[in-house]
Amino acid sequence: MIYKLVACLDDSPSASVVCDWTAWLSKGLNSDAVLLHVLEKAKNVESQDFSGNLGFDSRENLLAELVDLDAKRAKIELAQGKILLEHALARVGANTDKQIGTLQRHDELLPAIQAQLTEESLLVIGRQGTSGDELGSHLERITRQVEQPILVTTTDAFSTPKKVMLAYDGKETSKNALKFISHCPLFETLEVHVVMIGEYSQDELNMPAMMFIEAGKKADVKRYPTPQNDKALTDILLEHAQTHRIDLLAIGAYGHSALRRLFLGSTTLDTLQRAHIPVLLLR
Amino acid sequence: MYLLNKNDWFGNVRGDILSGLVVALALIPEAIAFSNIAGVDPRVGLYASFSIAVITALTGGRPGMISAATGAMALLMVTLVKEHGLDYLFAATILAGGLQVLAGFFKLANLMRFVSRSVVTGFVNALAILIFLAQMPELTTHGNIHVYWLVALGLAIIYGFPYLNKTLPSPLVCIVVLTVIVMTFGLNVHSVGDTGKLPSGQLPSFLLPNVPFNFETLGIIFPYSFSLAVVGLLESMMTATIVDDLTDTDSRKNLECKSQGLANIVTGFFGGMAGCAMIGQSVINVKSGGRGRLSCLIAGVVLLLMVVYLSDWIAKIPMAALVAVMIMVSIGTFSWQSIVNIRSHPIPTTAVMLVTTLVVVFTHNLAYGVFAGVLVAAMSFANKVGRYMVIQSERTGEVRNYKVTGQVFFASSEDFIAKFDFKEVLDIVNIDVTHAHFWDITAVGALDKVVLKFRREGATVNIIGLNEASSTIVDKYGIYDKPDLLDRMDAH
Repeated sequence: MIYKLVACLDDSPSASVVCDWTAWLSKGLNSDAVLLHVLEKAKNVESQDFSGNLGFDSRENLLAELVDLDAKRAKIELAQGKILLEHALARVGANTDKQIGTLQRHDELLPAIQAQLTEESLLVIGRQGTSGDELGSHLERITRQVEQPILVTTTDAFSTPKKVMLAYDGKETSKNALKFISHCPLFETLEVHVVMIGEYSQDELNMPAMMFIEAGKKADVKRYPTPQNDKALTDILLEHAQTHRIDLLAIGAYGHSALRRLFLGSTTLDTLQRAHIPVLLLR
Repeated sequence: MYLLNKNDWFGNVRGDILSGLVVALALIPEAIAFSNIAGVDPRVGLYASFSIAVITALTGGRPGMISAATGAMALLMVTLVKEHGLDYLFAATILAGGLQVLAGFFKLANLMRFVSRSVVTGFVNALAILIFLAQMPELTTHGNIHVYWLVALGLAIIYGFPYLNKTLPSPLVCIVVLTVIVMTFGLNVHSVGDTGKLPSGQLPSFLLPNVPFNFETLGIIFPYSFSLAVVGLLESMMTATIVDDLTDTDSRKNLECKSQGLANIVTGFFGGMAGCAMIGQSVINVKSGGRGRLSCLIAGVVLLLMVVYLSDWIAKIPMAALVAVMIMVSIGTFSWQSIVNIRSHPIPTTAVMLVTTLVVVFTHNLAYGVFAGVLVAAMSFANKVGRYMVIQSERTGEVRNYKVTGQVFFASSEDFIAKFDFKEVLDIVNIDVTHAHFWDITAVGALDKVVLKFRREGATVNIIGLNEASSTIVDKYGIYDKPDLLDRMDAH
């Protein structure tokens, strides 16, 4: 089902967590993985020179100056990235016997990731970026643009998950997510919760449990009444996760249409921002 | 979507704002000086700099590049303004913009690959020389002893001040110091106020150029518009490449063509003169930390606010200060390295550079220089490639085998024919062209001629191994194996 894991690593605290989840996924899904480290260009420029004058061959001199500056920075980052990947490789390799590769690219994060993803890929990425902001600055764009499933880890140390929960709303993406979870060997030994919010017909309510029975497994299905607003929707999900000590939250995220990806998914994003557990975005 | 890229707008806010301010301060003297070159009021250049900077910031394909009123464009307008007046300049600006937009749609930016590095060097050198020469009237006709030492002092400040302090733009310091000196001592020198109207308290407003809309007008403005469009795009594309190199990023050149065109159209309607990207200002921008769209936008807006509300002060700036700034711009634009390189570079490369520079300096039209440069470069290339042709031969009895290797085309076809010996008496001539390329009908005609000549001497001619590339051309145009060969040969 999934043939290639792409794990995105950077110099943030979540790197080791991403490694451990990747190892778990690789074992469970029987998939190879590639550990990706992207060297991005510096975005902010700190110039000390506001003299605004042009001297002899100022173009050539400025070019030489800028090249030197970039070269120094890149050398350091490259070396750090190599060490990061070495450690990551050792860490993942110790926990799975599948093929693990490493890759360093000079690029922007999103295109570098997209270049590695195939149709049957899963992306693993940490929630926290190097800049230390709660939701990594790139993550929002990545969740919007990438069409493959994404596991977004937290910075909490990895422990083998025992309970997984799926937020189910009966829509197409949600149904696909249900199918994935009920059939995937990864979740065979896990306790599965299916959480539904709002009003559903009896058929719709029975559908998730049926799906699991067909696959020879079982799942606890729980329905909550419709809340006041979308924010409360997330509250219900997170509360359920907390009271039942869920280790992994799965949601069917935005569909394929670019327009939908742009405007929809406020709940998904809200959940991503506020969840204290890893979130698996399924398409 | 590309124009809204968040990173291009807000990826470098602090750097862009600071560099935008530096650029705005540097743009003001240049816009005034270029208006002076074109023979229009300073406000025409200042309005243009505002509107071009803002529109290219919003719609351009090269974030971090600065566009405004430029010297290259100002030089092209001189006779139009002198003979027909300002309104024809506005009309020509709008038409030039339209042509540039078309160039963008037809992706003419791709033609830039024919403009070699030597041509670019020749272009910037010519530009520098012209900007320098344009300052001469201030020194000769309006010059007196005060002007001379003021200019010298100005240059000393521009190049000396950064050694003391790099947080203040030294051209600004030069302008302020010279203005204060002139006012304090009441020196009798030419000032900005003497050169024409400034935009005192007036924002630019929309106006239709006051010209008759007929073919006569079109006939007057079209040659100017065409030159403006070409020169504007050339300088913009060259500047974009320079910014690409400096920042190690890519740009969208054809989008930039459209953006330059749009900027000129709008500028024409708001009473501004045509402009384009500026090499010197873009370098200053990158040097001061500007990378995104914000810096050019801020430069434009700040420039307008300053000139509109500080007009009375700007009018008092002595022209000597502007001359000093423009001499700096010309020194910074000139590629001094190219003088050093003359010794080490091959002669044709130097020739291309010199031809470009000289043609521009004598015609005051950068487009002519570039055309001449590209022509010389193409000729020297054709000449070089044409030399990659060798014909070896050996004789066995009454048979001679010729073996052709290399490129046969218009530049080498005469040489090709000359290498066969038709006086030799032979029964059979084998010409092996397996390792040759016949590029055009001139080359095919040459091969035909050789075959016919040998046949007339009574030899049987065999052509061996016309390779794929050659045979397509030969099959289409060759006549040596067709019956009415002699008549058709003449037609070639």
